[in-house]
Amino acid sequence: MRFWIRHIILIVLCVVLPLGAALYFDTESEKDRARGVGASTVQAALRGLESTLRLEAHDRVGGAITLSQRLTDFDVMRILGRGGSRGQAAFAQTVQLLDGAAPPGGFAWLVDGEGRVVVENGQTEPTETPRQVTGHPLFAATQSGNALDGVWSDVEGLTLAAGAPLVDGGAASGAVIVGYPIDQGMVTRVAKAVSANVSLLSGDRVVATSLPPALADEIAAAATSGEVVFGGKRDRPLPSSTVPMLPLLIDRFANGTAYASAAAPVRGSLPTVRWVVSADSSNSLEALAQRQEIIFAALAASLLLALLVGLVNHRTFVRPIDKLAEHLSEIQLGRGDLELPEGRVSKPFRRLVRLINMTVQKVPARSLTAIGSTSDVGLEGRPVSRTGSLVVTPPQQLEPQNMDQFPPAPSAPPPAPPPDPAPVEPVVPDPVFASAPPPAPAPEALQIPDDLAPSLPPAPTPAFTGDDTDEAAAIAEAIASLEAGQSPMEAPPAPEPTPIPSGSSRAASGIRGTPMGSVDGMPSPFPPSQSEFLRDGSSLSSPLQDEVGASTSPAPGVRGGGSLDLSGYAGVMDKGAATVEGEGFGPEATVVAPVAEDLLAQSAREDLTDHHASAITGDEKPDMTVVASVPADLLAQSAGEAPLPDPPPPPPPATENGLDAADRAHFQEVYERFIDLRRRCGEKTTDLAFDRFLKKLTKNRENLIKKYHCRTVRFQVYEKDGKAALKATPVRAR
Amino acid sequence: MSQLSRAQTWIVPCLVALGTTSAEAAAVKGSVTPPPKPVADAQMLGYTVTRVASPAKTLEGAKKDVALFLRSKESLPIPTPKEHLQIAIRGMRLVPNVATCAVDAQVVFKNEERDPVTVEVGKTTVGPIAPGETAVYECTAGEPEDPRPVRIPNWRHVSGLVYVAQSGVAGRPNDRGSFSLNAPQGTYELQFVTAEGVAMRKEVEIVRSDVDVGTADLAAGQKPEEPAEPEGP
Repeated sequence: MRFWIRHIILIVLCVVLPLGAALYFDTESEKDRARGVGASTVQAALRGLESTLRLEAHDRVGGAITLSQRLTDFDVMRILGRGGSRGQAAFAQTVQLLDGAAPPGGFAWLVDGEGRVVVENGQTEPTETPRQVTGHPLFAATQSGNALDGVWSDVEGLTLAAGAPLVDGGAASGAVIVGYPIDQGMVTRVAKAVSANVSLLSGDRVVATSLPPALADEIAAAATSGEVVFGGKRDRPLPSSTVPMLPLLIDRFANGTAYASAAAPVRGSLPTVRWVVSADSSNSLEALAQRQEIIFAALAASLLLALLVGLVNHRTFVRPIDKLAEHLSEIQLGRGDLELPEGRVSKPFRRLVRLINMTVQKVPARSLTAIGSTSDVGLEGRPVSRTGSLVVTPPQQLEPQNMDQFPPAPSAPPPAPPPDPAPVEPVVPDPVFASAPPPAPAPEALQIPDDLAPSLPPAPTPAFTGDDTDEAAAIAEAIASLEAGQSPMEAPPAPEPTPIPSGSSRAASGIRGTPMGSVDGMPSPFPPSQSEFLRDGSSLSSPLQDEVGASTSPAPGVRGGGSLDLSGYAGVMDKGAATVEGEGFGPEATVVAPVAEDLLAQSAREDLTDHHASAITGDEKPDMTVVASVPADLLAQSAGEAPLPDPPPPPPPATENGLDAADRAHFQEVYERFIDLRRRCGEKTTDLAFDRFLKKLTKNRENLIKKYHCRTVRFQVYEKDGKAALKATPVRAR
Repeated sequence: MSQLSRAQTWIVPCLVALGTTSAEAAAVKGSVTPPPKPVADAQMLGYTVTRVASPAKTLEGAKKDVALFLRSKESLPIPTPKEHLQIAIRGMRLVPNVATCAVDAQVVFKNEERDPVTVEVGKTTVGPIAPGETAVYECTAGEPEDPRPVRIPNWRHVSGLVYVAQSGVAGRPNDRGSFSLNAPQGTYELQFVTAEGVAMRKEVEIVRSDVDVGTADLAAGQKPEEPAEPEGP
């Protein structure tokens, strides 16, 4: 989960935020660009307006000059001054000329030298009180001899006027003035010429405009000078793209920025009379939705890609590491399988898994070197001399016995009781008593109750002869010969490495001495080498070494730390082998081999725990147990294992069976592991109750204590031939 | 009562009255040559200007309008004038475009246009004046010499002046440029005012008889004098 939280944070920081910022800044830059385009358009339109008005002014003045020339040629002033019929005719003719020159809604005047408008367009007869324009600068300028244009402002509105003098003798004498009204038509015509909207304002009053009236009123309040201002809104919203909600971060009608406007004063008029040119500055925003759509598409694609990358990383790196950690944790807790299938992890981690599996596989081989030197009970249940050597029992057929065959349901017929087992047990010398080893107890097999081991084969008669010392030495020698590896003996063909199938029943508890023969006949892919057996530097000076080496070969796949199948060791067999039988737990063969003297001496000095593996045979036909010494680290490891998932019922009080708290706890733990192993081996677990299990173990414990005069007994669970098995180790008092 | 004493009773007041009337009856006379009105240059009012003829002959002799004010420095009380100077609004201009006025006196504006006209004198609005009607502008107290511009809002080109002084006699020359201002005895300053301001000043003392100040030639390129420093209270 933390991976995903971090990944999501990374996505937000690296994808969402940057693209969000890109969206924001792109939108803002588009708006700025639109404003820039609008400002440029307005300024260009202003220049265009200036040019257009100048052209029109030239046209108007030219028309006025033409009219004045015609009237001059007509000598209208003199004729009008005469009066009479000719004066009337001249008046009519003048009116006709002025009517032709006057624009629609405008005027055309004939003004005398004193500024009196003697004839106007549309006039029917001369008036007694004509209009006077003496003081108007336009007329004054014509009397200065100039033809020019200007603005005529009266109560009727604003007029663009053109005036030209009447020439009399080369001097100005009167004038014609033609006025063109600034109306909607004129503004529209000018707006079309400049490709922009044009308005004429007098103060805050809109005189004429090509904009919608409401918009013109809004812009009129904003544009008062040549500085470009923005205002107004679009009449239709900005077009959206495939996604209807776009564009974002902008008003759909571009309210306040739709139009760029600038003002220019009307020449010849009051300063408050101005032209306002407005240009649409929101056209370039119409593509904004498409741009944002592209950004959102990029955002979506980036998010998907980032999620995909996260999934791939999680699958390729995080999950395999979690599996490895879980696997190692289970190994540490003594649960689960020893080996993790390589196919369960991704390729980059398969080599690591392989190395871990190799390391885990090597751990039992390392502990094998200390088996004979630390355990009172040798392999195959042969007692070990208290001086530190294993007692090799006479050769017997050592058959691995299963200790997991618990009795069926009460409805099932009880099995036939096994024959009395031969009390032959190797005893591993206790290092505490290495200096003054007590007499080696007679090997004793762990008897399996009848109701628990219905199908147990008859236990072979132990053939321990001689004293414990001889047996221990024989066992030690057998072990030493095994540890010598392949060189002193004919090395057995290295078992072909076979892959451990998934869900292998090999349990982590096998580290503490599971005989390799119990791994369903699948030896380790890593054949034992001499170095593994001799890792602790033990010597191979065992009296049985030659004997063993000549005729025996190490059991295939032997890793140590548990029972060893020395059935091929003729010499060892001659020295005596004992099978451990028990009642109810299923007998199993114990491998007995002599322990090297130096290993025994070394083990005598070590501070061993109580968890010694030993195969004990008893008078009560004890169960067959595999005897081997368990390294201290594995013992300590097993001591710290977590309890199995199915907690057993609480053990009976110590007063019932003489068990103290440690014993009870140990029996509980053994029970849990036994059940768990049976489950993983596919055996039934419902037919074994803890009380019965405890009863049997207690009975065997008592037998072993009685026989070996040890303080207590410790049991270990391991797998043999695909079934759960138990092995016992007497613990001497300290 | 004897005849001599009765004659003294009547003669003395008559002599006093006669003497007083003689003191107010003095006039300041003279003439003024207004400066010429310059012919407007080819000023562009719009977008184009083209000279097509020589200036009109009527513009050659055009003169500026001139108003007079006999400002009292130390004199007997000056009676309130019965007539006031008038400014007409005709032909989209002020005719004349300058007037002088003493405090508490008036200037009359007459609209001879066809449309109503509003006049602004200084900060005071006069009007709108209906066609053919007049409106009075009261010359209220202000600065000792206070030229007040005259404007017509709808006609930017129109500009005039109402010159208001503290105490004195206002007048203007006739068409020939002659003038006569009646004032009581005292010392005065005769001011020649155009639309641009006081063009010339002349010290005048009225004793008993009329005073002839001669001809003030404003056309000789003389710049209008700076107004005299106002006298202390």
